[in-house]
Amino acid sequence: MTRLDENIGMSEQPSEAAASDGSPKSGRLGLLLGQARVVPAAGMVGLLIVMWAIAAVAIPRFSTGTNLLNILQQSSPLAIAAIGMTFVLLIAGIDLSVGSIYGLASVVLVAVLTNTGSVLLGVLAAAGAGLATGLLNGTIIERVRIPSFITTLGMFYVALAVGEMISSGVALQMPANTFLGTLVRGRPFGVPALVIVAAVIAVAAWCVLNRTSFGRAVVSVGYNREATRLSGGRVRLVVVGAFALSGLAAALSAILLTSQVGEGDPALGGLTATFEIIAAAVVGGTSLFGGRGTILGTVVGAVIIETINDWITLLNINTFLYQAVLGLLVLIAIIVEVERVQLAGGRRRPFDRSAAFLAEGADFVSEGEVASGKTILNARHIQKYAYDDEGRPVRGTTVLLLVDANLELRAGEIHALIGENGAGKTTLIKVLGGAVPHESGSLQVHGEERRFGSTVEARAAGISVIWQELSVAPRLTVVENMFLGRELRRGPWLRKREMLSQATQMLSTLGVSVDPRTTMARLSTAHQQLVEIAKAIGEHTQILILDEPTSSLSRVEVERLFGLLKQLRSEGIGIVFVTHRIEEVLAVSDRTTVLKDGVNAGTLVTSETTRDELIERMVGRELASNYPRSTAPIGAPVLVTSDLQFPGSANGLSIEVRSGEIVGLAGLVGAGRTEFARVLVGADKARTGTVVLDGSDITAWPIHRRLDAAMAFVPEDRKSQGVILPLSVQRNLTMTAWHHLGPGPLVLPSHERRIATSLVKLLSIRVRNIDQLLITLSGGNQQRVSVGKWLGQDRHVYVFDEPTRGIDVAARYALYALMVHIAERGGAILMISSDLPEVLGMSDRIYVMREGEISGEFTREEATEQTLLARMLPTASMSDAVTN
Amino acid sequence: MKSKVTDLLLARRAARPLGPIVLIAVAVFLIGLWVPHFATFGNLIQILIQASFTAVVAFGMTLVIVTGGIDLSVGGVISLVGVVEADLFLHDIPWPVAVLAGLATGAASGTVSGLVVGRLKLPPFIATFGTFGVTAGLALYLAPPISETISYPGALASLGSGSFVSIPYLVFAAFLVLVVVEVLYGMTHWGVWLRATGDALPVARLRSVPVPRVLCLAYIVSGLCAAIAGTLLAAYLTSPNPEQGGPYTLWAIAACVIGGVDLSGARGKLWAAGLGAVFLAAIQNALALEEVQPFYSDMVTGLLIIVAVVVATYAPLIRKELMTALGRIRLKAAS
Repeated sequence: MTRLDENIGMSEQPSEAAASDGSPKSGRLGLLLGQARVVPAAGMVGLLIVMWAIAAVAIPRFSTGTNLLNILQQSSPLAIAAIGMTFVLLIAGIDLSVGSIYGLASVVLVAVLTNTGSVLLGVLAAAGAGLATGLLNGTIIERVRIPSFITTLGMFYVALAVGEMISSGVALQMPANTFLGTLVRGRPFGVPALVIVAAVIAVAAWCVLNRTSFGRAVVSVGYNREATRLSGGRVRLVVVGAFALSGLAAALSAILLTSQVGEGDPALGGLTATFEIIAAAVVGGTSLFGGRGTILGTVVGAVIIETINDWITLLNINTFLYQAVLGLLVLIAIIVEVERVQLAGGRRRPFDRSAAFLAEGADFVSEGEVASGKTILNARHIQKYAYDDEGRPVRGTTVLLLVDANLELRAGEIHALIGENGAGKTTLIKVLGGAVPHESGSLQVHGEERRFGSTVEARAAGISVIWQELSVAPRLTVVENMFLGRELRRGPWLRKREMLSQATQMLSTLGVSVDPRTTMARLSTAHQQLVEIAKAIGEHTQILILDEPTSSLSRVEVERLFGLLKQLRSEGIGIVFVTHRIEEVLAVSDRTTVLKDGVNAGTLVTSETTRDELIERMVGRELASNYPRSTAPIGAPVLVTSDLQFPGSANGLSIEVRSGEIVGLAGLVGAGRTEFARVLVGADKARTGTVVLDGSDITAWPIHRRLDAAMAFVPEDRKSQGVILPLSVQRNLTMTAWHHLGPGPLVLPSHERRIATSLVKLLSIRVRNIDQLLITLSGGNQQRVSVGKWLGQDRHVYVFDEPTRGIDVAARYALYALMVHIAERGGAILMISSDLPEVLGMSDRIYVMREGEISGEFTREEATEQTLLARMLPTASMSDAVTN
Repeated sequence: MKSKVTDLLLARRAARPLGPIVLIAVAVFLIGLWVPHFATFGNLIQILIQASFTAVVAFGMTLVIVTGGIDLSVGGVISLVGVVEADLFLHDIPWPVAVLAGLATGAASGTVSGLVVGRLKLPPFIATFGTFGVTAGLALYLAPPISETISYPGALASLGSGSFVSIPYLVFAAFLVLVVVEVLYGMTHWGVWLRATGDALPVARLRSVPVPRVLCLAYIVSGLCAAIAGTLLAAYLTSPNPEQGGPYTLWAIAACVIGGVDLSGARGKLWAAGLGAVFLAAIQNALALEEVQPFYSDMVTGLLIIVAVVVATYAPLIRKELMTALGRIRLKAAS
């Protein structure tokens, strides 16, 4: 299972012990602007006041009491519908059907009213129609997984049609003198009744959003759906609920409008109304990307829109311009929001996602003679600070990922680059490959000093990187991939035949038997990798850098790859090979460079060194016997699986974890451990087999039930699954306890604060204040939050997936102590880890997984690194056919 | 015989084009049996005419969808272009100039959409929803008053109503557009770049594909196609209707989806989108013949999109099951 770490390098480093209070300077401004919810609402109110002030001076008849009250009255139905839309926008969805829910509710109201004479029934029916449409929207979106804008667009027409059906296409007259008619014309104490109704609804909505567990969940889902789900949030319910609210609000708004006009019109609203409603919410500061938005802001947005409408009327401007102006307003609001989030150092979710690199360095090991070719690449004293999405140093950071890194590569050499997690291998590769620039130090390619601003520049200089996350376009063919960006053409016309023949030739030279016309996605990872190498060779690469190339290859595929690399070496190409597998380093590389904590810990001739020496240099410490140990007795089995099978499993898995026990799960990347963990907690479905927890069969239980009852899950990828970065420390820590923060579904801020504060103390999380956004915390502290949120109640089973990956030493040991603490309280822990010393040091028992099945079980006493490794490595009988 | 059929279905390459063709043939056949007057030559021509407008828009829309985006503004462009040309005819501007102005309008709208999506990086449906608002609003604003009668220049009027060997010029026009766009899409590097952008944007960037320019191109082509459709539609209707483009957004998306264009990008055949347009027009025609109310038609279109997306999502799974089943039958037959 690969790690998708979008901001790799931000806080993965041991040297972050330098960040003393856990929050870099940029945090302060970010904290202020990032306390996102208050600021835009205040800004909007300000904008409204300014608008009214200007209009009062510039436009006659604007500032009369009648006109202003009129604006407020007109804004009320819009505000109500926009409040409903806000909930949908908050979960990062959109509801295009509200315009036709207007029409539907309108005719339903009048039809029922006319036929039954009861206002109450009419209102209930109309509201019910809106609610039902919203529920239908939500259900289709969640169950059938169609994007919300398609579903609601289709539903727009369906609701429109149903409305036309009911009214046979005509407007229905509403009986006069009904309660509703009186209501909408009423002015208790001079304030239009409509405004009062809108105000009441706004207050109610505010309470739902800010003081209930539903509201908390809405924001959480909007920011990060998967993380919410993995914390036990009932995502489906929240999404359906949001759409239901939107439909209901639209219906309520329609009821009021219909009563004003006095007739039920199936064409009420339409796409224009949809647009207006969205505009009101967006102008009011609600983000289209989810998570951000306030009720107050939306209300003010509605008033702003109606104010503009009023201006257009008063100034006799052509009303058709209104739509155009609305469109412009929405665009401006979005651009402003996007820029504001950028400024706050927050994470926006743009249409594109660049740089999904990750990597664990693999160490290259060579065999045979030392290459005596000349130096083609010389990196000296490279320094690099922790960087952001653009590759630039994070503002105010003192965290150095590369302190003094050196690498010298010769022609015709296979050079391994090894080092621990967080040693800086990935960062160095990125610098060499042009993905990020270095801050200081010298990088010479063929004797020429270079500093690459992009991978394109690096490739032009002859350096190609094969990233671990292969950079292929899966739905394009092999040929298209190989020539992407440098297609052969005659004028604008593609020379397809020639590209095909060149591709075939290149592939066969490398001994790859693949039809270049196949779609990339059809190939196995191994073959895709070979195609990538062929692509690089085709571009006349002289320096080939491979980033953990063997992590998802079978033994046979690895052998083939090494054969290919040796062939390339003999042609004078210099190869850098990042890996974790010492055996491979020893088998294939000529020289090895060890990186530790961003600094060179030696460059050795591989044939003259040993595995132990390499490990010693990587780790620089003795394999510690200073892991904390639990003194609790081990009890009965708490979690038992029988013959569990799931996508990615080879045979049924049967394990058990006992109370008070720490069970380690070792294995190579790609062995299926994370998939297994996800099935255990219910994040993914099992195919067959059972999972039994405390004697109950929970195989059919959905994830939220398992997590609510007795399980905890700390995912591998903490940044995108373990915590929600744009939320505060307090919100993150209380995410699993929404139902316990107050009576019933209510959430009391005082309870929330109390729980969060006590957890911060328990875990020694270094923060200045608990309203800080999680993104400002260091990796170690983020992980403490990711683990800590489960500690509010005693759970029975804790599943940790790579809990200490990329974390500094101090935080690591704190986590170990925490695990022991949990075990001593009777908890059962399943710990997935790729760090063998950690597995050996912490576990009472160890399972080893290999290629989708359990390949061994050891007690603490029986296990050694060698025995574990032997069970982890794939056996020679693995096939490498093209997969489907 | 059975083995031939299963062979055909199992041959993945062959299976792909079959989908839309089979669908249309079956649908037309069934409807022809059911609905009187449907299967007459005159009616079928009528269907093709209706399909032509949608198809032209769908060709441009396909390019946008292939980049992983969507263009909600086409309806507004169709309306606006019709209005712009009508206004120019009112002032006795020669028709080639007016048509060029119309096309330029479409291209301009596409450029705006493309820049907003490509440079400002806004989500396409927001950006094009905004462009839709602007173009639709402008169309209403600039529409010539109803009192003025516009005489459409002879050339355009005959384009809209004339035919060659019984096939209307409009249909030929649609084919011409198909050929031109297909040349761009299938035979130039732009086509590869469009698909690469929709398939794996970061990878395309890495390989120095000029993504903003590619996105711009997609939306400009879509705008131009919408402009052509608007011109053709106005020539056909010969009376300016500032809301003529309204339903075409949904219809074009429906045609693409039915034709197998993948909404998540990178996959789509232009001719299949064209066939999707024909299918849609056939359904709408049949409903009209049965004197079903117009709003039912819209509802059906909405449902068709949902169904098509569902089918497209689950089809690979179903096909897998089907193939394993067929494979088993084959084995059994062989043994």
